[in-house]
Amino acid sequence: MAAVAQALQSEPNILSRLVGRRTSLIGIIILAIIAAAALLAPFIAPYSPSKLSIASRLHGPEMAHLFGTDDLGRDIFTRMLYAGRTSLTVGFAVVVFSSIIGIVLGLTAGFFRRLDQPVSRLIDAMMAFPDILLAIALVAALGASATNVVIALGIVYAPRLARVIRASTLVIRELPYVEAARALGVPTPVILVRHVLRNVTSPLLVQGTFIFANAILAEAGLSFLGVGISPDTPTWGTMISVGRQYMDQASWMMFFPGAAIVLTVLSLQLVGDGLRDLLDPRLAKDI
Amino acid sequence: MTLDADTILSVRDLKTWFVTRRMTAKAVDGVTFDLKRGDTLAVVGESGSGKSVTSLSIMGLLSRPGAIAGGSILFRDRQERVHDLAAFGPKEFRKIRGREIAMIFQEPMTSLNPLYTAGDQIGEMIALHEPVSRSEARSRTLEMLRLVEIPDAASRLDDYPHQMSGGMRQRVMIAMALACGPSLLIADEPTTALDVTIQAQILDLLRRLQKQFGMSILFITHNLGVVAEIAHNVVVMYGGRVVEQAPVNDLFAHQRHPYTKGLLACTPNAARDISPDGERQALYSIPGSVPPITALPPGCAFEPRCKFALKACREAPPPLVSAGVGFSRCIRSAEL
Repeated sequence: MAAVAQALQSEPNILSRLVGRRTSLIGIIILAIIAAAALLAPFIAPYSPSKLSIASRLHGPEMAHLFGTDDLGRDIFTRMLYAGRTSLTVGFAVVVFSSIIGIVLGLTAGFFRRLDQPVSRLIDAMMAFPDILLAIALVAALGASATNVVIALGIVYAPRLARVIRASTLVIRELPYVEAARALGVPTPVILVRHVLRNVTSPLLVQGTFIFANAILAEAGLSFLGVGISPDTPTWGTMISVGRQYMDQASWMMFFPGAAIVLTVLSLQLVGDGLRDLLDPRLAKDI
Repeated sequence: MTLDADTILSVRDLKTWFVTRRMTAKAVDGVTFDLKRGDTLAVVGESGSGKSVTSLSIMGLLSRPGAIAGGSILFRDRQERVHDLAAFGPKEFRKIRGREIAMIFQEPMTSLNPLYTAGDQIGEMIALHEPVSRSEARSRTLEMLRLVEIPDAASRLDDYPHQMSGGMRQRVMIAMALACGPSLLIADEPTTALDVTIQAQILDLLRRLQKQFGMSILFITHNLGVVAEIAHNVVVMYGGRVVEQAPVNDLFAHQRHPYTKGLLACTPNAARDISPDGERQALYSIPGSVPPITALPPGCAFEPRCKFALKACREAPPPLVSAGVGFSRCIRSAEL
């Protein structure tokens, strides 16, 4: 337990320690570049993402079009920048949405003994579905739109977070400072937020990073399958989906968005791994 | 529900049982004692004697399957109203906890949340029970830290628990407990995890604070040395029952129960245990061990370990009888 306390106490300088690890640093740098590129898309992009040019359709990478053009002559580099905005936003929104559900379910199951069984079974039931299948079913039921993709993926990933939070809550609930707080008359909601939730932030952070990566991948998958965001909105998934039809003539249409997904997911995993190693007392060096 | 005017807490025939489908563990089985206003009552016993469960019952902090199966816990609040805590629900307990009864624990290392500073945690207690502004809470917190004699209190206000020693953390715990001005403080082995010198300082502090605030203290411990330091009256527990009860001086002068005698003999005493030529006396220990609470003998719970045991001890549990100025649950108490 002392190790947990130690790991938690070191949280303020966690960022500097993360940067100190070479693999995590690489992840952070790639992620920063991708995020900056997406954020600054209107300033960096050489063209408009929807500017058609029949004359220059299916051009390979060249000076005028770094990553080539697609079947409608749109600049792939430009579209990728704008697609990054959607993909990253969707990924982040999924993390936030699934965290909210996951925190509520996890805290309830972990803290209130009576609710543990029903809530845990609900979590198990949700986890029994294959991720993509459940997401497809939910999007099909809700209708295809960016918001509904976020909702569907949020529901898909919430049980994972709930499990992690439940497990940590079970431990923290029994710690003396929680009992001490109760003995001094601290109301349960305050105990839950101040004393339990604050202490589960590190597993939450680690899981959040992985879910971010998974959500980007899943969104691309849904868009690729045609049940996600509409093909007019550039996302890395829709770009690959369209590119698939021209795979033999214009491989770059699939290659560059695919590479963007791989890089983003890889860098998120690197950061997540680093966070986990730093925050997990079992892997900490001092044991 | 009648309660003597000078009694703040009266536990009467308290039964706290842990009932599962397979067995019933009578952790506390018919415990009775009174705590006078401004006094310190020590509850002494080994692990498993039921002393901690008694204190948790008073605080309403029992977790399932533990529940009060009988008896009453009469408590007099600051408005002189008498409540039966044994019949309280979670909502009613919330009004009593902190404000009227506060509790401090054994582990000063883990009784504080590692993520908040000492000042934050004391301030939380102050803000919880009365509406105060931030700056007011901070100055009150500083006052509390000075009260519990933390050196250089102003600079300690923003320290995290891991930057403090065990003794200092226990002082912070005490400050948190006192922040709401409770009339009863339950201290569950507050000095067990501390060095002897720190232990003495904490006991001194508690005594001083008790005088200053007119607080009553229920002191749970297994250390008779600590009892001699702080208690006015003593309750000795064994196997979920009170086996002896007496004012502290009388208890140390004359034990009326073989278990208390044994406990006292087990206390290390530097002067007694080592002779001038360096010869060491073997430390006395009570033979055998505490029986599990689910398998108590039918007669006196202490009988299997007792060197005074008679045949009658095995047959029926002895009643608590008057012995000297106190009470003893031993049929041979008059001979001891």
